[in-house]
Amino acid sequence: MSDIADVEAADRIGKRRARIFFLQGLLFLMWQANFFSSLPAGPMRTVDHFKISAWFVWVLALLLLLATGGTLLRRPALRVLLNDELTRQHRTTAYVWGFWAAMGAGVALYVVNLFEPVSGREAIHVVLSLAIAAAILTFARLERRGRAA
Amino acid sequence: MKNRLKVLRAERDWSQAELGSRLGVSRQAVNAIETGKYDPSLPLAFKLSRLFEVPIEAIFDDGQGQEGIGR
Repeated sequence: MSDIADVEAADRIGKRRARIFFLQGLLFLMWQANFFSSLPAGPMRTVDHFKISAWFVWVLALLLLLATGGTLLRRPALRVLLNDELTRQHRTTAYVWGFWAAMGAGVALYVVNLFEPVSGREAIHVVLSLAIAAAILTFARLERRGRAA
Repeated sequence: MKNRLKVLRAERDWSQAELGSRLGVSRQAVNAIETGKYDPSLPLAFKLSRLFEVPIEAIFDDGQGQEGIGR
């Protein structure tokens, strides 16, 4: 049994989490679009290394957010409510969407590579970005829909 | 899956948050079960059954009745 105040707090935090996840997913996708539209033709510059490092940190942060639901710093009672079985099901569905986005990206890159060389790093970048964005946005969509009721 | 959760909750004059606190789940989960968007796990269904002191089949109806058993 949980405290009713905790249930109400979890409701508020859950709504905020859904909004943050949605915004994060959207910003991440926009950042990737910008990144790929400004790829250097020649050798990598310092600024390009910085961009890739920032992307990598962002990827790890999003994966951590998705895996924990962003509740690591919350009290255990709130963590349980924010990761109840409905949220766990939403996360599972999000993982499935992420998996299929990765498969889709892999197939698309394979076809593109028949006509234009794609480096291993670029391919991993595309696959990871699309999979994570799909998973985060799916989780946010499901949570928003549930919390809106 | 159809269920009588809303009716049972209303009979006790509990809010969704209150039922959630008794079950240890979020208000969102209670709402999703009530509206049939989500079928609870077996442990949660048993919790509901014990909480309302009725058998599980008095809460949930899969539309099969006894016909599906043994086929």
